[in-house]
Amino acid sequence: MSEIIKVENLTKRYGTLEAVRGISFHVNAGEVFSLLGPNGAGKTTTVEILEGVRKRTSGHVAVLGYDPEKIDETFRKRVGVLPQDFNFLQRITPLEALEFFIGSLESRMDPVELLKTVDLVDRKDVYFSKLSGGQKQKLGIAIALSNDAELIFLDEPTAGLDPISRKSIQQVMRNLRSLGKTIFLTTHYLEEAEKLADRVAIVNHGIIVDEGTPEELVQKNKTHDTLVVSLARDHATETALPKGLVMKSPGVYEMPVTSNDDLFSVLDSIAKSRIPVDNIYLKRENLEDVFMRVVGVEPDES
Amino acid sequence: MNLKRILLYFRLHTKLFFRTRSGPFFLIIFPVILMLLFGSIFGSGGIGKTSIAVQNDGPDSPYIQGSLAAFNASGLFSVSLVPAGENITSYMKANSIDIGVVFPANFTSSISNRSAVVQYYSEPGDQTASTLQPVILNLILTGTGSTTATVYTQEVSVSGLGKAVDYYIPALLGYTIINGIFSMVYEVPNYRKDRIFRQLSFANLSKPEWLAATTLFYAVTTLISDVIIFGIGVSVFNVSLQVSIPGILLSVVVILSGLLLFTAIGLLAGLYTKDEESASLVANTIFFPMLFLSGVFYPISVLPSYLQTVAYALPLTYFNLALKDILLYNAFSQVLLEIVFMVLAGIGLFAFSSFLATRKQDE
Ligand SMILES: Nc1ncnc2c1ncn2[C@@H]1O[C@H](COP(=O)(O)OP(=O)(O)OP(=O)(O)O)[C@@H](O)[C@H]1O
Ligand SMILES: [Mg+2]
Repeated sequence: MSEIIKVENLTKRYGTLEAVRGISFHVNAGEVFSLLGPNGAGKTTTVEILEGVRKRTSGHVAVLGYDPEKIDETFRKRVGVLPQDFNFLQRITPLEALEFFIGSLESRMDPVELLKTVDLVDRKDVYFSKLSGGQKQKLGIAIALSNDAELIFLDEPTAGLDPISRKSIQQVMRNLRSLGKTIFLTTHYLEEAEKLADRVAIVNHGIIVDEGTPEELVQKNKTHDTLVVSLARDHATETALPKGLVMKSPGVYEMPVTSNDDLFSVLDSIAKSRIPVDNIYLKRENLEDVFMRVVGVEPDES
Repeated sequence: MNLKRILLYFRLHTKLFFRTRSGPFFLIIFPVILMLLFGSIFGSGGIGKTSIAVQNDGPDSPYIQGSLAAFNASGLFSVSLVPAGENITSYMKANSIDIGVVFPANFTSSISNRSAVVQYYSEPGDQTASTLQPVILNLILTGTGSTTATVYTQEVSVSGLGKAVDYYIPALLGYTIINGIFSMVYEVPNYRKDRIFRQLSFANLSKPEWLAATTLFYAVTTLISDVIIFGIGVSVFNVSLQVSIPGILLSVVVILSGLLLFTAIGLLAGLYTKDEESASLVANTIFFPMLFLSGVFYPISVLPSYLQTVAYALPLTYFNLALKDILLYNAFSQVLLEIVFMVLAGIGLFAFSSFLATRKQDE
């Protein structure tokens, strides 16, 4: 697979603050690559350097073969961008905004189709200033798609969207991927990254602390699965439960499971004791748990 | 620079401009109000006394004194005495006086012979001046106590005098042109804060292209405002400007080069303005001194000498001088220098601002 983005030892300094402290990664053509990290980790800074919006302090960056600090008009026609704090002219309507981008970038996209994609057709003639936060965000996504770009940067595209809209935008991203487009996604919704991303990089304090497919990251970092047992309502506590189960909240007990034998013996004893159980399930570790663990640890300063 | 994109953004900007309430107001209604206001205050007739310049080319005599006393007593005139030997036409021009009365050297001897001539200087077609001519004649007859004598007026036409309202036309055009400063000082920091420039750059619209489209927009709107001012001046207040095709063309050149300069000043100020609150401070700090010192509302010659020095350091002064030279005095020769000054200063400031804009992009 060809590398559409390549970053080596990238750093960015704002005055005395080193927001990005030497990161390296690559993005393959046609994949969804997700940058994850807590607030202030340096995600937006990194993305904006790739988009050609910000200058880097040092390091090597190639996007579609361009140095983003030396881009030309073709670059903007091949790259779509949704910035994190998307904003536009207050008195423009969504339709006019899309027409402007399509005209200026000489794209062949249909503005109304784009509005349909983001479910904004019924607000197409409303001034930008009168749109709700989520509707503005949807327009920003439509603009990022307006040039039919092969590489699309989406900095927190689903932030501020209701669950239904979020699902539909996630579907839009899936469709884009199936069209062979490359998506660079920044998000705080870890299940979104888990569902959509082919590969994920976790940044913290300007450093990549881990990188791989979501499954790889989970496999690599997971400690154990957890057995969760919740008791029937009137049984807040139960002394007859097997030893390993520890009460986490009233009526809810948990136990780390390291082997199948452990698991079966506990289930056996629960079955025998006839304790009134409401629910029993095995909680697998997901990207969110891994993220919490990986990011919770201060990165190595050296 | 891509012309197609510039025009695309220009069209968009114009469309959005007409969606604001204040935009069309300042473009059309405000110039109309200003012109009507200035026209009624300073137009023909006007308020208060009419200034007349009086010169006596002969010896002083009771007849002369009597006439002057009658002028003053009438309450209609404020009399400026022009020393004998001085060119009355230049005096009138320099002091914006529309009517001149000259008693020839032989006036005193002739009036005692019951027949005399006075010279009456005015701009041809000046309504006020022709209305006042018989009034002045009558006052001379009363003042000299020679009601039975015949005094003829010899009319001397003076061109390029203009009425007070004429003087204000170039000034109001100057006013419309520095309006652009206000828009720039507000728009630039707002667009930076709202990251509109970044979003526009995703459409490949560069800052220089944005600037070109915006300047084009100001050029068109300023010319519209100016045509309105000019039109009202001519149709309602009968202003007598020197309107010739070369004069109008040259005025357009002056307006456009002024626009270049003032947009550049606005841009520079806008780049140094952080937010909306300081924008009004910055805009007013630039705007009002220029408005009051550059000869917009009154001639620079009435300012104390140290303020005159300041006035000649203000770019609007050169714009006003240039337009007055063309529209009032039909004098084209020194205008060239003023145009060159404005164009060079404008280009220099633009270059400096775009250097600054690219440097500030990445803070
Ligand atoms: N223009 C700027 N000037 C100074 N410091 C900045 C600037 N932009 C970002 N920073 C700082 O750089 C660090 C990284 O910011 P960045 O916006 O890249 O974080 P992020 O990972 O995108 O966070 P979030 O999840 O909140 O969007 C932060 O500490 C921020 O304060
Ligand atoms: Mg961010």
